Amino acid sequence: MTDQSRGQPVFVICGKGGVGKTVFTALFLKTLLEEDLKPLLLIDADPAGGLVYALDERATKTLTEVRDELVNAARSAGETEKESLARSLDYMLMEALVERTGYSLLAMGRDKKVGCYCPANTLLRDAINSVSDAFAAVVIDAEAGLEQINRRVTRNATHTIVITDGSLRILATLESITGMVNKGQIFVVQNMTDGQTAAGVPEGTVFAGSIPADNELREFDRAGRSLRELPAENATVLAMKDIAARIIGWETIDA
Amino acid sequence: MELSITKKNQEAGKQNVFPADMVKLIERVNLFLSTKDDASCRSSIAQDRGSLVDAFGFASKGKGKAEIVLSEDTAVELGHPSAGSLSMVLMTNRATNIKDNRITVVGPEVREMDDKTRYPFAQVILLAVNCGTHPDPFKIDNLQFLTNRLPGYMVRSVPGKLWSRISRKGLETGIDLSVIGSAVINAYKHEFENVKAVEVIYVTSSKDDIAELEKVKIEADILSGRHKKLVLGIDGELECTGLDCDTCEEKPVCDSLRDIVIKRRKMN
Repeated sequence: MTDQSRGQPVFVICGKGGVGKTVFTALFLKTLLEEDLKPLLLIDADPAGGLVYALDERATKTLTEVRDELVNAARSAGETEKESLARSLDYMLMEALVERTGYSLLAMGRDKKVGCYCPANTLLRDAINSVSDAFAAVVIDAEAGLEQINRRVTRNATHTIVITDGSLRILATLESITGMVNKGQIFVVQNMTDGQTAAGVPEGTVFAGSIPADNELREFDRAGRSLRELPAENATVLAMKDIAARIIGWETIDA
Repeated sequence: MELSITKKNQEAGKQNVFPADMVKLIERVNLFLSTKDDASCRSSIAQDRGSLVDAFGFASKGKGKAEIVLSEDTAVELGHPSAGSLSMVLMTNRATNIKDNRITVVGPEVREMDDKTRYPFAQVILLAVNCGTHPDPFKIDNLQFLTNRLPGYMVRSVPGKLWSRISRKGLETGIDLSVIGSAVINAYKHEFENVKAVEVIYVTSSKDDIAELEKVKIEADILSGRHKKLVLGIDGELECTGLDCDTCEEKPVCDSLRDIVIKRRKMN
């Protein structure tokens, strides 16, 4: 979804539904900010929009709404209005951007309309590319399943992070993902597991570590508190520090 | 001209639409300015193009670098959707009604603002063009935003609204509304044919002041032929090409116009 022309890292977090992508993304954001990798652009590409809640944020406008406004405006636009419409897209995108210290968030939102809007999606992707230039890195919490990877929404990922719960079904999904991603490095993270094990992780991927099950995190989640507020000594936060170090430093270690 | 709306069920494209002289609307903007005291209303004269280029890196159209100013790098935010915003260009053939090269700021200037507040923002451009010229209103509009032309000044716009940010670095280099207005005036004078005079007015005082100018803008949209359904007929009457007010998306505009008509009749 973002441009790689200036070597900006693009982290895409994917996996099957319910494995903990959103929790991982929130913890990953916390660690990246603490490591001073900022400003960060977060894209909540999951229509369920869980990341917004995991960070206790509210998106006043979603990318889907921006696209729909664009489609409506394009219906009646004459030739001379197209330049104005192109500018309007940047305005609407800025409206959709939730800006915080160190990071900004764009939420994809749920698609309620039927129909193909490929040119609108392309325009939107271009606009997001231009927004992303202002950031040190981009983190995308992808939709559950493989659709966005298959449609190359995440085609410019430099780091694809697949979250698993270690089940056989998910390992099969992982193999599908490795077949679809042709750029960057693929990392595997086990979520809510008791021990670290790289067993079953496909060849060509890097096992980045495990996030333990944690009651404090569950309590935060239930209470709707931002996971960014988890204390530094929390087990999941500590685990994430190691995982992030492996992911961010991979190229250096590999070299 | 007094606004009244008549129904005429014709296609807008077949109407005889032309950008009408907006001298009456310019007079209303000047009347608005005359209600402001000296403390809240200050004027300056536009800088020349050379000094804008040297001191602020003012770029020619299409030559600037795209820039995004994030909120944490923002020194001043103007016209955020929640704060109130307006942009309009009023065009006339009568240069005598326009104080050429003048920039007026109603409300605080950039240096009197803080980085925590979202300020209301109106940019009103008064433009005198040679007699007999009827520039395309969309081309006229497109020039006013200075998109990517002034480093440290980010502009986002939808028709009729302008949302801008001046970065901390931009503020350090001296960007203020006088500089932005100078850039606007230079853009029109150098990049548009037949321009005789340009004056720019900025309003940062209050949402109420923006709302006052909004009434002028609604009429300007109709006179310029920008409005989708309300058009100015050859006889000077406003005509509506819609069929059903209940389903028309322009109904709020008509409602506002009716309010304006009532108020103006009471005034006269």
